[in-house]
Amino acid sequence: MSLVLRYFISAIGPFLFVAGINAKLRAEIINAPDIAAILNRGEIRVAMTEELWPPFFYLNKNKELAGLDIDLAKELASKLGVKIKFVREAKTFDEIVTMVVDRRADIAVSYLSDTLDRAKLVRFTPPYVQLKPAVLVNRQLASVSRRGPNLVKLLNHPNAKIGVTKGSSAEDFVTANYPLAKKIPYDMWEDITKDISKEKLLAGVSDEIDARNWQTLHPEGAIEIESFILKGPPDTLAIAVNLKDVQLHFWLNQFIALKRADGTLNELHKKYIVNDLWKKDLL
Amino acid sequence: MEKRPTVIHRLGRILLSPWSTAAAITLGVALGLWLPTVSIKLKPIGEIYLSLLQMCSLPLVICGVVSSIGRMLSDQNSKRYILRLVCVIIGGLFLTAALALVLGLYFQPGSGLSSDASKTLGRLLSNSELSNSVNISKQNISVLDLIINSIPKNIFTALSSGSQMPILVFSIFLGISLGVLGSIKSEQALHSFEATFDALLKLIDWMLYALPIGLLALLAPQIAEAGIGIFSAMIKLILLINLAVLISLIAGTFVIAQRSGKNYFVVLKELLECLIVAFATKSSFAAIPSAIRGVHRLGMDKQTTDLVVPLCANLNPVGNVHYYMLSAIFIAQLYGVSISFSALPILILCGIMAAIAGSALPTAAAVGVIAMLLEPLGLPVGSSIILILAIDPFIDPAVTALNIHGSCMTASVVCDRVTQKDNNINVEGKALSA
Repeated sequence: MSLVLRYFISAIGPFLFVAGINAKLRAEIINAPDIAAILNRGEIRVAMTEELWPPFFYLNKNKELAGLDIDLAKELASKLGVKIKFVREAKTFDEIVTMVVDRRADIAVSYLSDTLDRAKLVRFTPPYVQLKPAVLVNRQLASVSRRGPNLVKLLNHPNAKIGVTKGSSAEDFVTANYPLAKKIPYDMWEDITKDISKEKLLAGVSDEIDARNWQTLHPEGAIEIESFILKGPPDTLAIAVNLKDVQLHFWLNQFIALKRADGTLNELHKKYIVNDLWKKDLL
Repeated sequence: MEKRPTVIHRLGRILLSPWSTAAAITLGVALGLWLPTVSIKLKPIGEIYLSLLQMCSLPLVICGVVSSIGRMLSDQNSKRYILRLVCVIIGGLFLTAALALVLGLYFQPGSGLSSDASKTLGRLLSNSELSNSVNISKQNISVLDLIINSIPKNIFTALSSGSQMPILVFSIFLGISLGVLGSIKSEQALHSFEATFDALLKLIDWMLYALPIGLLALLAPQIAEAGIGIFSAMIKLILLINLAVLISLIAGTFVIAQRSGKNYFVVLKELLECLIVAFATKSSFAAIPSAIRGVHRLGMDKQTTDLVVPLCANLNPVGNVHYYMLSAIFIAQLYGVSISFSALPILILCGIMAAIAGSALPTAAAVGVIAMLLEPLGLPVGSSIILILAIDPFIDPAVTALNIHGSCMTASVVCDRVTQKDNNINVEGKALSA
């Protein structure tokens, strides 16, 4: 009976355009409970932080969510054949991970770095975006320190105060690359840039997105602060899944591999990270 | 048969008149502003004209320096010249530096920038640093480097790369040895240098017929390519440097008028040609021939002029002093660093050294020399170079004109007016050496 049904569905499946019906029909024959649960519900819950992180997610001129993560999540949901629900309750990135662990969301697509600490709690797909690390340096403090133009010589020094956001991959980057420096954790990236301007910090470390956003918001800041986008180990963003959702994890891995192969990931990177045309759509 | 030469003569006179020069400048600026695409197509013509002028400069400098040094050695008054030359150069540079300092501290070009202006500057920095399109290195040159670099290891390398300081040093040595030899053969060698020198001046004479076209083709693309946004953001500094140059030009012209005994406006008229060439080509080197001709016309001693003008174009770049000092003061004020009283002597000394070092380098590298002033003050170098380089098109023409005017001024102070008495001395000197 089920075999007949399966043939029947595979034959007519492509013609069923209404996602809900399609999902329901398929859910009956899918054995993987994690995917079946999502298909039965007819929607996938995607966790995101309450705070907006352009260009990954932001409100566009129609006051709708848009951005790289939004595009990716929508594509993912349509391939899965379900609707999408964005759950934006988390205040911090670590809280996003907790939400996936507690099953308050199915997956997290939220400008989330796949740090080794987080990978102890959830499963990560291969990265969908690689962000280069960026260093912002107070020009004058750098000049007064007389440690030359070499960034490592300048920053890997006991007198060098470097600001990083708590729990970010930048923190690991500083520990690995500038072990002698004084690492100062902050809650907000904005406060770090302010303190670099005030000469309280020699430098701040984050990724290219933060550096570019800061330049857009405070163009005059470049007189005092120089930004470097480094070639070093990139900060990688990945989709997080509950560790029991093995089949969903495999499905997502295959989805990312496919999107990498057909050039979608490259296009998204170009659209949102290399170019800044998206800024015109920003509310 | 008789009409043709008169037509050509008349055309020649029209081309050489200051009015056609003025018309060319106006047309060049207008073209650059209103028809930028056409202007940029004129660039090759301008480059050809600049190359033609520069083609003559290098041999002219060598011949002038060699022959005049050789002649000077047989002149008893030469010691007096040299002492006077050193005093005038040092005095001129210090006075200029002091003027720049007073102007910079009084007018404060770098403080109170509007928020729009600082945004423009910030964007310029972010864009050029992130895209790495501007690849500039700072030039840190010590006095020792300056000396080492000015001695040519291989005179032909120096000649083919057109590095002026080593060529000058070699020419001076060659002139000294020819003068000391004092044989008939060396006398003939000096004569041939003099003949070449005169021939090159004649060549320059002919090229000046094309000056209006050259000016038009040089100015239009420069105006078309200059960014107006950055112009308005740093207008205070641009105006201040041009003002400083104007003050020095007026003062220098007074000195020349005093020394030559000519009317102030006659002096201006005779030197206008070299000032315009320097302004349009942004190369004091290309203006050396015109400057030498101008000083000759003012009735100064030819032999000393031929030596002093090329020498001072390198050693007495008063315009560069304004450029570096005021830019450094601008940067200090931009970063809110107050210049303490004890820092003033350092600023003046470093400014003079940077000016001399910068005069031997092409523009992009010359701006890097500002590191010599900024580093002692603890100011960031990389960003400053980008900012200064962006406004360079608006200040370099005037600064170059002042550089060449400064060497004319020094020449007029060092050289004697040619009188009957001086000529007699020269003749006696020649007789002695022969």
